[in-house]
Amino acid sequence: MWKLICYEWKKLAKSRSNLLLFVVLLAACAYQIKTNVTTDIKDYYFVSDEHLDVVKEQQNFANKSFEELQKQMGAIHYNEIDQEHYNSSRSLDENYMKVTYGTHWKELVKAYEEHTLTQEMLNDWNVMSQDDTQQQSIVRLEDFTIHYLYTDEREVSDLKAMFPDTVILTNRQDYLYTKEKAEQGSTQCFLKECNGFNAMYYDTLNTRFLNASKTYHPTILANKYFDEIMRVNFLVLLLISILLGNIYSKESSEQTMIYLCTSKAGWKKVSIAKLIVALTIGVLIPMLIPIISSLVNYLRYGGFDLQMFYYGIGDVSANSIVPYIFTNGELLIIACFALLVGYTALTLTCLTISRYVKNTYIAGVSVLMLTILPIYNIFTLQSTNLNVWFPSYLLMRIFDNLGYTSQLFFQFGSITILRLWLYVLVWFLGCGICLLLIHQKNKKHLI
Amino acid sequence: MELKTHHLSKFYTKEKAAVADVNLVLQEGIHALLGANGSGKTTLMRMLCGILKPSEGIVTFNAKNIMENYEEYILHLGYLPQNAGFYMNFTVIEFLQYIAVLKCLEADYAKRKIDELLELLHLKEQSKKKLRQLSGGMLQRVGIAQSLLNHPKLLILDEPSSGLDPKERIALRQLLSRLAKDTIVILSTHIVSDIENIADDILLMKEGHILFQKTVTDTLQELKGHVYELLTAENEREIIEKNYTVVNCKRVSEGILFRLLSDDMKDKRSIVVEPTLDDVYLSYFHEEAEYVETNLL
Repeated sequence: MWKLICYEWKKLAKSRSNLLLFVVLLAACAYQIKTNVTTDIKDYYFVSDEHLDVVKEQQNFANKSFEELQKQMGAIHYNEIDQEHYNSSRSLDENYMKVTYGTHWKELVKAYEEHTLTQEMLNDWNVMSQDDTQQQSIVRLEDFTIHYLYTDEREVSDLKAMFPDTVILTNRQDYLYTKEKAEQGSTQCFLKECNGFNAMYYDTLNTRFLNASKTYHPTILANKYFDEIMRVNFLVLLLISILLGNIYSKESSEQTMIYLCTSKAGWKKVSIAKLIVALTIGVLIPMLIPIISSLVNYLRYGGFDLQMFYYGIGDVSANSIVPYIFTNGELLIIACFALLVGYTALTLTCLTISRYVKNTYIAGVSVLMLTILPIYNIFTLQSTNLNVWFPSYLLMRIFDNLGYTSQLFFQFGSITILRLWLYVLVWFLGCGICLLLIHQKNKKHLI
Repeated sequence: MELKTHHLSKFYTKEKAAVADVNLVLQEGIHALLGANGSGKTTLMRMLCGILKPSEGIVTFNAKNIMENYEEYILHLGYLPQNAGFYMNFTVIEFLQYIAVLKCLEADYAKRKIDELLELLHLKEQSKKKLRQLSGGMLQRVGIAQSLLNHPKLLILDEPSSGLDPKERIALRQLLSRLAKDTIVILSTHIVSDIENIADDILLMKEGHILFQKTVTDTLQELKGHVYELLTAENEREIIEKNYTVVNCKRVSEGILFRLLSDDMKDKRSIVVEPTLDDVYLSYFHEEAEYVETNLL
């Protein structure tokens, strides 16, 4: 077997263009490792166990544990109004309510919470509001909302005092605020306005909200190195795709497939040799980037820079929440696993295309499309994360179109939710189908 | 040792069979598969190799279905495909070593065999050259070498003489004659001179059908008395070409010397001559020959 693997490497290395691509790939990986270990963003991403303990203690102090809250959640039937009653870290914004609804605001709130508020009450108490034309008018029942303040802002202040160099924000912004509101720096939330989700996700979102509102994360600052990391990562993906696209299609286009078809070694062994080479290029080499970077950081700073594993998977701000939910060890396993799934999926997809497309150029273009699509997405949709890189991106879009999920669902922070495992499972199935397709094609002995 | 096909057919489209109901029994010796381009030779050979699934029928080697015993069958098979591809960045020796690995040959045996074949096929001097640096004829010899690496009991060669110069073709014939003692050699070609002196029998293929399987002597015997030579004046050319199948015409000082095929020769100037395989070929592929000739003119 090792001889077959050696010859597969030889086939790639003997071609000058492939050799050049491979050298560029290694250079890009080396550059990325260098960038990872020299960039100053590590100060923001670095999470020590000691730091974690302090935050966890704060969380316990601040409110009930996640498990207890979950128990409460399980017993409640959720609807849009009910959501508002189950965040114990909120209180009414009395000043706002007084200014907006006048002297009878307390009665109005009571009636609203008891579901007894009527339009007549609003009329009787002459509750006025300003419409778009700046004209005073009686508030309509359906427009009546309660304005909250979040009591955990006090905790934010405590944390700010504790970690003066770190910017602390509540995670609510990531989950329930619209992006625009979050960007304006608002720390208030009208739950009624958080209606960007399908009803079927309310329970999940609410659970996450309750959990997330008691956790804190350092805000990710824009960093000049960050864009560079992204670009190199795409270059790595592109180079990998082109190299993998060659593996089978070159045999077809140069009519050498016949030797493999009529070999005693058999398709199975030849395919395994090709698969091992493909996985080395498509999985092992890119995986070495975060592993080596982390090891270097560990040796230099005495801890793992776990963020190294994330930027290929999900939204940065969502990633930074997870250190407060998982231990470093758990995170390392999850991160490696998620990267493995992603890279394996990419590798097998490229290999399948390469097996079915007989023309090297068509295979090259098809495989390039696979990695160019995310770039298109990044530049056109202003996305700044790599969770859009192709296999997962395509799948996400399919799920989106089916109305099955929202962007939030795929964020790395949601790893605790069962549905993410469905996502991983689907990718495993996808990988299995790719292998099956290659096997089926080989089994036919057809050239 | 026996290779048999049982009602072997291959349909690429519903209307027309590329190979239609072929029944063959082949034993040790050289079997020449003769036919025009597109007659189904390559399709038949690929099915015999097991790399193309027949639409109907089976192939058996020593009474065992090759598709059911493919791993065992492949041990005995040597195959040179038509227009064989190569790993052009490999050297000759690297290519043969890789094929030896694919054929699971012992390292020592492979080394000896590669040396032997390089010597035999006059490739010793080119052994360290990259395949892309070799001429078409040399590449063809490398292709033949790879097919012989595992000392096959069944050797299938699809157009092996294409690209070879006359000297190399003679060497190939000698090599095949030597191998034929204990090997089933199936050789496809449309160059009849390649097989005239070495083939034990001829399988004539046309439009997917095997028209006959006969020894060279029997094949020639069949055409005896139907091949003529006729010396005519230049101005009779058109009439001759209209009335007879012209195998060859040669300008001589007295006029034009035609070699003709005819069942009913009326011209008393003609002389009966001994038939060759070219005559046999043309008697069956008359239409294709006419087409080619018309195009050339």
